[in-house]
Amino acid sequence: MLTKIFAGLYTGIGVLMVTLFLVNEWRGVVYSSSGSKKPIPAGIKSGRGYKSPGFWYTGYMGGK
Amino acid sequence: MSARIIDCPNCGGQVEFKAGSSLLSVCSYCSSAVARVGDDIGEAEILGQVAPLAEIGSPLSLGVQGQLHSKDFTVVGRLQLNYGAGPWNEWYLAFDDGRWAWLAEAQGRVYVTFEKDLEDLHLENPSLSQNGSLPLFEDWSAGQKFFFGQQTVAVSERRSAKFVSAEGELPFVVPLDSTFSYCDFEGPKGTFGTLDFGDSQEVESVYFGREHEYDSLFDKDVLDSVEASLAAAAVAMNCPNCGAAVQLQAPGESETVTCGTCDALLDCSKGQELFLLSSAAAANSNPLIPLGTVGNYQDKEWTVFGHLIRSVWAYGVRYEWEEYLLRAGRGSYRWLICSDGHWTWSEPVSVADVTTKYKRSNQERPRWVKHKGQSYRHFQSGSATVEALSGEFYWKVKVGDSVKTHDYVAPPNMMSFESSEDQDAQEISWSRGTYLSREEMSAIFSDKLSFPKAPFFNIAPHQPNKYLPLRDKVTKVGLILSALIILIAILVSSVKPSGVIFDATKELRYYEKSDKEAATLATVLTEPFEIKEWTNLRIALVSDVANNWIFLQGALINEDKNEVQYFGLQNQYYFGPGWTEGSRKKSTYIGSVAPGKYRLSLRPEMGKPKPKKRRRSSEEIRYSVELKQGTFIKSHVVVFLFFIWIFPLFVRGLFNRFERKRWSESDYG
Repeated sequence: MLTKIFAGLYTGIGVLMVTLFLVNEWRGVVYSSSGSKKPIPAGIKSGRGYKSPGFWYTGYMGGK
Repeated sequence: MSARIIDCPNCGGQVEFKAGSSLLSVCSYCSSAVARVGDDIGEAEILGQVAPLAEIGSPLSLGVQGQLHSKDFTVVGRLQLNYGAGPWNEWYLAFDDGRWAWLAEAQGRVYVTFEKDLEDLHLENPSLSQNGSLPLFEDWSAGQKFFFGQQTVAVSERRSAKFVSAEGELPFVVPLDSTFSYCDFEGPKGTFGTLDFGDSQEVESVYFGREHEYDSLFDKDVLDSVEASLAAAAVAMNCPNCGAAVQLQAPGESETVTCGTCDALLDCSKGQELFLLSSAAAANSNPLIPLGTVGNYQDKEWTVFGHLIRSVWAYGVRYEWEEYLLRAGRGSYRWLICSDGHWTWSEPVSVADVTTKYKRSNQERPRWVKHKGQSYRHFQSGSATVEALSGEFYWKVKVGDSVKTHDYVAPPNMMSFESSEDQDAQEISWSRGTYLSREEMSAIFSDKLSFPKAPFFNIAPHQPNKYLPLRDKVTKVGLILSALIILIAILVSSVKPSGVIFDATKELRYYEKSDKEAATLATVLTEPFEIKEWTNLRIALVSDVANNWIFLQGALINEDKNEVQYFGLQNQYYFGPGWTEGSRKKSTYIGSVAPGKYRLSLRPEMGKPKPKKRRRSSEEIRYSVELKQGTFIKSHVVVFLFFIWIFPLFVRGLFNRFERKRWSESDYG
């Protein structure tokens, strides 16, 4: 009985893990991904594009 | 079959030679052994007086007719033999077609053997032959295998016995009370044979046949009437020690019985009389399953006939176990063995069906044995001694009897080897045991008996590992899940878009942080590029930095969603005579990148060159940046496989702990 319960639990969790793996791989999830998404700071976009490289002087990169 | 009659040279009474193959006939009037001389039936000589036959319970008698493979035969003679443990019968069968055979009775079973050509016998190891002839009697040993015809057979018993008495006719002229030597051998599927050495050391003849049921050879009415008379005689028997009535359950088969009143050990092999073997009341074994209890197993009803307590000494400790003898009709015996609350169903197997494998050629006993395709590993050996007994037994048994034992296990089965050996004889036997749970034991006895639970810390040699079903299941599931993970990884990486999106090589000269103009000039902003499906991005930085560092401030700009994701990448590489530190290659990933239009912005920085130091550092760094989508990341597969296998490995650990505990009780513990 216990064998059935543990084997069933393991199978269930295993199927969830495989599903998670499939979804993650499909969406390109990276577990050691760099940084996080943030909105583009206001005022660095001009009509013809970015005021690049002024992009870096908005305070978002630690004042660099 | 036409009978020829001559006058007994001793008393003048009529002596019959019913079978043409008969060379000797015992005069029924004066018990003289009358032998034919030459081919002339009219000439006869007296070989001496024949001793009275011992009364051995048997459903057979002279004149009984039977059939073997639709061929009629008549029992025309009987030879009684004895090697010291009580006489046994060998019946001489004369077939209507002129053939003859021996029918041996042992332990309620019958074996019919015909004389065969010695040329059918071939040794497994030809080096054992003596100058091209077969080995001498003293060179044969129990367990030795050889080929008979197309079959592999094995010697199960090697001993010498005496011709003690006879009646009716015999196919050879034998001086009664003479000793002869023989080797019994067994083959697959109940085949059986005897190598007959006569009174010499050389094989004189070989007999080969198979085991049969009485019912398959003889008319049931004949057997039933004889059995009924045997049973009636058995009822009337009294214990010679206390005078109490002793009723045999299997008269004609049992050789030893204990008195239910005084516990005396009695010899019941003589048919209608009991002989005292031992009056020791201490022999009572107090069985947990009462004698006479009926159980049901493998579609047969089994009656508890006898109970033994046996023990073995190992490393100064005495281990004791119980053995119950069960009977399900004529000649059908099995054993139930109880050791520390663990139960085993045991049945005999042919010696020829067991193959052995030694680890080293000089090993005392085999390390592995094989039976019906299953390999068994040696567990323990010992010398088992009978400590107490009660009930009825088909062999001569007494307290103190000892045999050598070797046990081999392949849970839930066990192969047990027993051998007895003295100066003149060797006898071996194999039995196969199957582990029975308490629930199975209760079911056999229809829940009429309750069986104590085995101590949890005690593991039987062949007890099924309780973690085995879970181990097998989770291993199977783990393998399937692993295969799915690998399959998904292969499919996704082959289906999803992948490849280089942006690749550029630049040169960077040092600039002060405060120099915004230089920083602006050094910064790279890519042209817009499109990501069509969810993916990951890998940004790699390769440089020729030397004793310095280069750092890329990166930003992935999603123009559709007005989002930005920052990242950093650094190379630092220092070296000197005989040493290096850091790397000129580095990469990072951005995950879960949604479909859309993107740009990549990269602002490089480097450390200030230090030309005056011992090691010159880069003043100008050449670096390459590569942006790639849909990269297959092996570590993801490894991480998932790791989590999938944690539980199966844990269960495997429990399984192995159980096995270590089992084997700690073996000769290898």
